[in-house]
Amino acid sequence: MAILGRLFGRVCAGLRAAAKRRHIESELDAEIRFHLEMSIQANVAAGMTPKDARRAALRDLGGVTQTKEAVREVRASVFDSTVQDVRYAVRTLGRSPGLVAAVVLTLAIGIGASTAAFSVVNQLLLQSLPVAASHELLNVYRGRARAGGAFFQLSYPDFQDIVERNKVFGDALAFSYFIAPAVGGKGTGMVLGEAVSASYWSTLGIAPGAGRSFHPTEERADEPVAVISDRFWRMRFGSDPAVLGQTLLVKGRPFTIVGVMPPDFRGLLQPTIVPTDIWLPAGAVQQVGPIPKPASRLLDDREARIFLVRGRLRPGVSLVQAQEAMALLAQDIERQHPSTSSRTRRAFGLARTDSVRVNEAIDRFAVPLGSGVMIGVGLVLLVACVNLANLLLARGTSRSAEVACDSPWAPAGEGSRDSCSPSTSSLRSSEA
Amino acid sequence: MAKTDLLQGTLELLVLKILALGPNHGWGISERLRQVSRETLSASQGSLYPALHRLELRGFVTSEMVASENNRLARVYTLTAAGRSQLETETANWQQLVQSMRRVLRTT
Repeated sequence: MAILGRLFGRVCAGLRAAAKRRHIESELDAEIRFHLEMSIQANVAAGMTPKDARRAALRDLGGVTQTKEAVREVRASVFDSTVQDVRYAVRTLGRSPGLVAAVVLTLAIGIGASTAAFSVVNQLLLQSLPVAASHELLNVYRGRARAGGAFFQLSYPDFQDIVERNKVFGDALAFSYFIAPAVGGKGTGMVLGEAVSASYWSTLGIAPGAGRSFHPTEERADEPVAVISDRFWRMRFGSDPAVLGQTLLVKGRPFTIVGVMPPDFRGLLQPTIVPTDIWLPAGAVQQVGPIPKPASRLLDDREARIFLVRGRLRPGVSLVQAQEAMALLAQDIERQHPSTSSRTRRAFGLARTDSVRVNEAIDRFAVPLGSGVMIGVGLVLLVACVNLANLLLARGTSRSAEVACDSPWAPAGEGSRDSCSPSTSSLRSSEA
Repeated sequence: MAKTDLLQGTLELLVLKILALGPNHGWGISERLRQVSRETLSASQGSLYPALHRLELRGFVTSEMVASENNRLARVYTLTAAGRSQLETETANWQQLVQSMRRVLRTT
């Protein structure tokens, strides 16, 4: 308790020093000077000689230095009485450890629960992608968006058609994903990777934190290159600054590391749940991808729907306009390359990337669940606060006699504050 | 009439009352105090300034430096809403005190 008291003393000394900043001093100077000048003027007007007028003014004021010192004391004493109040509070709390424990525990549970729930909900449902103008990004699906949750991926030729023939996207990217063993750096382990088009970085408006992204000529993975995440770089390569140029074996195939992503970018696949470790060119999906058909040319197969597509809307194009344009494009493609797939899968569906939280299917219960959980823990915190308020109110009522001080005998002004000060009231209660 | 020293604590009440008439600077307040009390009440002008600063720290008045007549910088004080209600409370307290005093002095 004594240590706490000394600590408060020191804090208040600092506050006092801050309160005595120079501008207060100079303003006080000006204030007193103004008073003296007015006073001298009045005295001269009453017929005194300037010298006498000055002397009388100084006498009336009671000294410049004394007045200033008195004002400074007033300014300092506010902090002193704060110290007194705080000391009193600490003393009182020390006398009822049970109450303190109850209060601290109640608040701890209330705050802890809501913080924990919020950090989960925030991570899963509230964060948007750390990319430039994420509200312009759209997810492109096969199948009508929101039609009973039927979402399908696109083939690489689909993506190329969209890039070449659409008028609504300024830029578009495609990525597929894979989980594969990777050897390199300090060890071996499964990695989550995205096989991406070279437009990935330009569409998102981000750049690797170190090194470079993929050139368009590398998209088909004729040149085996890789970009790794900041997390992977730390874990696997111990933040080795010479990581660029090293080789990473993914599913037994060598890829040269050419870039490291910035730390806050966790990929596009499941950024809120599992961060992506490595990025390979789209063509690499043939070697490391989920479909074990290394011989086939997956990138040329119209029915190989393994790519997720994101497009960045041109400025001034609305979601509805984009949907109409994409519907026409789907018909065009269908005419040229009649597909064997069902009618619903032939259309293109669009959804704002920001509006998809965990993923299209999980969102339907995750979002209401998240809101429910937040409301729930909010209520828990509220109940905790109400309980505390009741507890303290009950205590305050039982002690109201102790702090009663407003007797008609209390002098007005200065005195009434002092008679309410804790030291007096505690004295009074100990006498009673 | 002889000059009466101000009772401890009454200066602030008087200052609040004067500021209720309108914003004023320290010199103006002391002049007004002299005028309205017909020269019977005189605060030592030196004690006026600590009182003003105390009132400001408690939030009953606010102040700002403004250029006044003859282009001098003066600190002008203005009553706040809290100050206005404090004035009412203190006035009531004062009247109660005066009544009590009168009763006591009469009976004993």
